[in-house]
This record gives sequence, structure tokens and C-alpha cells, in this order.
Amino acid sequence: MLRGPRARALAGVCLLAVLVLAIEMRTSGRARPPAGARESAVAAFEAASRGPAPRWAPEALRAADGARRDALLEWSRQENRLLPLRDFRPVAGQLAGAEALAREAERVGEELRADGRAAAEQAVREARAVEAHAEALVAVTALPRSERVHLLRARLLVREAEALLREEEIEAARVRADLSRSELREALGPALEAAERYTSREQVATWRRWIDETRARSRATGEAAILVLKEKNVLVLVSRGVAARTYDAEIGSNALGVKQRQGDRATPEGRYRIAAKRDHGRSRYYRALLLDYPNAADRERFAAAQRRGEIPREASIGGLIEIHGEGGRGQNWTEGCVALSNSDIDDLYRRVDVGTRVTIVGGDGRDGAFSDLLAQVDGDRENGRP
Amino acid sequence: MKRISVLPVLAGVALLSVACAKEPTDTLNTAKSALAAAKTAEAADYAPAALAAAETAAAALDAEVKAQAEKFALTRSYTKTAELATAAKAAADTAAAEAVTGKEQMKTEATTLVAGVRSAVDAAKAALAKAPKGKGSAVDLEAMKSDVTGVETALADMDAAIAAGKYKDAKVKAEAAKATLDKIVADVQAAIDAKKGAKK
Repeated sequence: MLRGPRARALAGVCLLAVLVLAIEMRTSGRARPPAGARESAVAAFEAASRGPAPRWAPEALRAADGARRDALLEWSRQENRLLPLRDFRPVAGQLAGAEALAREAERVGEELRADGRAAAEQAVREARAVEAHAEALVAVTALPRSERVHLLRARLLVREAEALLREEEIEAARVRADLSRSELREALGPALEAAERYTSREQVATWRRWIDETRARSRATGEAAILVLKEKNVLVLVSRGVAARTYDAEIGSNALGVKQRQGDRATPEGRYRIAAKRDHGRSRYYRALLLDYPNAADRERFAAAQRRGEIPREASIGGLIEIHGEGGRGQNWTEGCVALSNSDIDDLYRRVDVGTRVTIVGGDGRDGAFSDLLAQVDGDRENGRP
Repeated sequence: MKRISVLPVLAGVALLSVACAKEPTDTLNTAKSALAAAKTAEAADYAPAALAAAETAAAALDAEVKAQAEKFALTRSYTKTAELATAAKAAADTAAAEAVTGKEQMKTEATTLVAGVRSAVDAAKAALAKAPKGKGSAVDLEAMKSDVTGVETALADMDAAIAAGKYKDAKVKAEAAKATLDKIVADVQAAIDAKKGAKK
């Protein structure tokens, strides 16, 4: 044992060393655990874990988790060292890095979720639009029970997609919206096939030519003429070549079809004239303008279809196609006639005469329920959507 | 002489006490199992905040275990490890309990909704029985009846989803079915009202 002045000197040096060390530790802060930084990093990571990052930015979240674990390990290492040897300064840096990565993961997750949500919302909107068009088609076609099952499934899938969006189950919502469209295709296959002539270039060109010729003749002669656009459910009164009045019109319940024979509930398409005016008491439906259906073109088409075996030999071509009243029911319901509301037929009745030209077309290829639906279907096919 | 003989004994006792420090394996395993149980209980879906807290506690525990493993065997101490393991287990248990509660709540919601669909099927059938059968409505009625039958069939899917513990799926299906049935009832009511209006 050392004693005396040398021992006191040694003790003094040791005391001084401890004092210097304490001052150094105090001023550098290296031995003080960065509790605030740890709390902040943990909170940032937990916020990222609770948000969209696990699903939408798993890689970024894994990177943040790795950085957090490294920082915690370094923290434990320092904590387990002797007090004078501890240095938490690198830990503070690691925690700050881990926090930044967690915030980045949260940001990327939010962004990707927003993109995913926008895509899902778009898919749901499109599915709803197809559904609305489908309802329009269904309203004019009697779907067989088997196809109605597809239609119902499609409707349920759209509603499920909407509910999933509310639950923030974005990917599942998008998948169901796409499935809904595919079910609608199944449901409406036959109807879509029947509607295809509404986007057939050749057919639409013919209809547009008939419309143009009707207007041109009215302009040239000064006579009134009538245009019926089946797809748009409108009857247009043309005066001196321009549309003078437009009336809502209802047509045969087989709205997609073109009249081929008696009883097919389709409205004929062609160029006709008013053959007779039937006032109150002479029409079953308030007042009527009888058309000269079937004309020569109709008879020729009917005979050709019979020759091809598309129409039975015993079938009749039908007749008594009128523009009459008692319309305004909001759906296509007639046997093949064109129905207006009673006030509209009163108005039209006054403005036309026997011999007035009546041109009936499926549509003009624009802004109609069927042509819009077909355009949507074609767009889907081009985009590779189901 | 006396001092010389006591020192080695004290040093030996101290050495033995630290050398005998063993990793609290059981406590660690219990904490790990508790976290696994919380995940199995679908805490990620039903208690995400509690699960995040449990994972933070587990990460702190992992770090402490690794830090001890890096140390010289004679200097290891597992006192803090045991504390962290206990805390991690408690956090995991909380997450599991919250998940069970959340899932139970979702199950109740889904079951109630599916029961609501069953009632709505009956209501739709009753409405269809009262629907006006006039011109042009036969096709619509047939279509609506077909839809009600379709929804009735879909009830089996909802029951299956509940049985499989897919409550969110069952809930979403039930909401969709209910909306469809409500529309049918509303359409029929509108037809009835329109007919009443027409008679005036």
C-alpha cells in the first residue's frame, strides 16, 4: 500500500481524471441516451405500420424496420457498456435515419394507395357506367333467366366494390369492379351482338344518308318531314331542312331489333310516308298517323329473309304501324309503333299531312344508349380489360 | 494474511454469479409465442395500432438479446432482457385481445347484416306479391323475382364467409345484397304509387 505524499498525489490525479471524464461526458452528451429521438423514431415507424405502407410500400417499410432494429441494437450495446465508455451519439444519428425511412415509407404508401384508390374508383365508375348501359339494354330486351343470373352477379359485384372502397380494401374493390364488367359481358352477350349494328360503319352510314336526304328534301320542297331515331327515343319534326321540334318517343319493346315480321315487337326502319290520319275515336291510342309500312323495300327484305330461312314460310310481314298517342310511359312498350304523349301527338298531328315523309333509323352512331355501350365495350377490349 | 484469503473467495463468488447468468429462454419463447398468437388472431386487420406497439416491444427485446449475445459470456446480464420480454408479451397479449374483440365485433356486424338480408328477401317477396300486374310489368316482375331468387342463393355464400371467419367479406356481400333488395322494394313501391296516381 502506498502511503504519504505520493499516495495523495496519485489520488489527486485519479480524482482529477474522474472529474475531467465527468465534464467531458457532460459536455459531449455521449453517455446520455437520446430518448426523444427513440420515441420519435418508434412513433414514426408505428404510424407507418398502421397506415398503408405494409400493403402498398412493403419494401420501404422493411428498410425502415431494418434501420430501426440496427438503431435499437446499437442502443442496447451502448446501454450494456460501462458508463464511461458509452457513446450514444451514433445511435441518435441512426434513430434519425430510421425515422426518416419510416416517414418515407408512410409517404410512399400514402401515395401508392392514393394511386390505387384512384384506379379502383375509376374501375368502379366504369363498371357502374357499363351497368347503367346494361340496364338500358335490359329494359329493351327480355334476358333469359340464365343471363339474368350474370346480370345480378354483376350488380352485386359493383355494390361489393363500392362497399370495399368504403372499407379501404382498394385492390379487392378494383378486382370486383373488373369482375363485374366481365359478368356483364356474359349477361349481355346476345344483346350486345344484336346491338352491334348500332356501331356498324356501313349501317350507320346508311342511316346518316337517310337523315341527310330527308333534311335535304324538306329544305328543297319546303315540306315538313319526320325523323325517328330509335336509339335516342326521339321523334324530330323537320321543317325546311331544320329540326323544328323534338318529341320524346317510345318504340317497340324489342328496341334493338328491326322489324322483320308480324309479332316481333320491333319498330321498322326505313323511309315511309303518312298513309292516313286517324283522329279521336278512329285510333286505339288516342290519335294516330298511319304509316305505309310495309313498303316495297320491306317486302323485298322480308322475302329475302324467308328465302334464307330466317323467317318461317307461314310468317306474315305485319302492318298497321302508326305514330300514335298514349306514350310518355318511360319505356319502350309498343308492338312496333311509335308512341308520343297525347299532348305531343296533338301538336304533331296539326303540323303534318297525309304524304309527309317519315324516316325511321336506328340512330346516327352518336350519343345513344347502345352505341355508347358498344363503344365502351370496344374500348375495354382494346385496353385488354375483362 | 486474512485479507489475502478473503479476496479470492469474493472474486470467485462474483465470477460464479455472473457466469451463471443464463438467457431467460422460457420468457423469450413466451413473448415470441404471444406475438405469433396476436398475428394469428389477425391483429394486423383488427388491432393494427396495438400490433405495431407489440412489434416495437419485440424489436427492443431482439436488440437487447443480440447485444447480450455479443458480450463476453462472463459479463452478460439478462435482467433487462427478462423485463423487456415481459413487456413484449404484455403488448402482444393486448394486441391479441384487441384483435379478438375487433373480430368479434365484425362478426356481430356481419351476422346482423346477413340477418338483415334474410329479412330483406322476405320483404322483397312480400312487395313483389303486392306489385301491380299490368301491361308491360310482367317482364319486370319476372326479372325482379329472378333477382330475389339470386340474392337468396347468394345468402349461402355469406353464411360460408361467416363460417370461414371472413367477416369483412360477408359484410361486404351482405351490404351489396341488401342494396339490391332495397332497390327492388323501392321499385315495386314506385309502381304501386304510380298506379294509385294514375287512378286519380
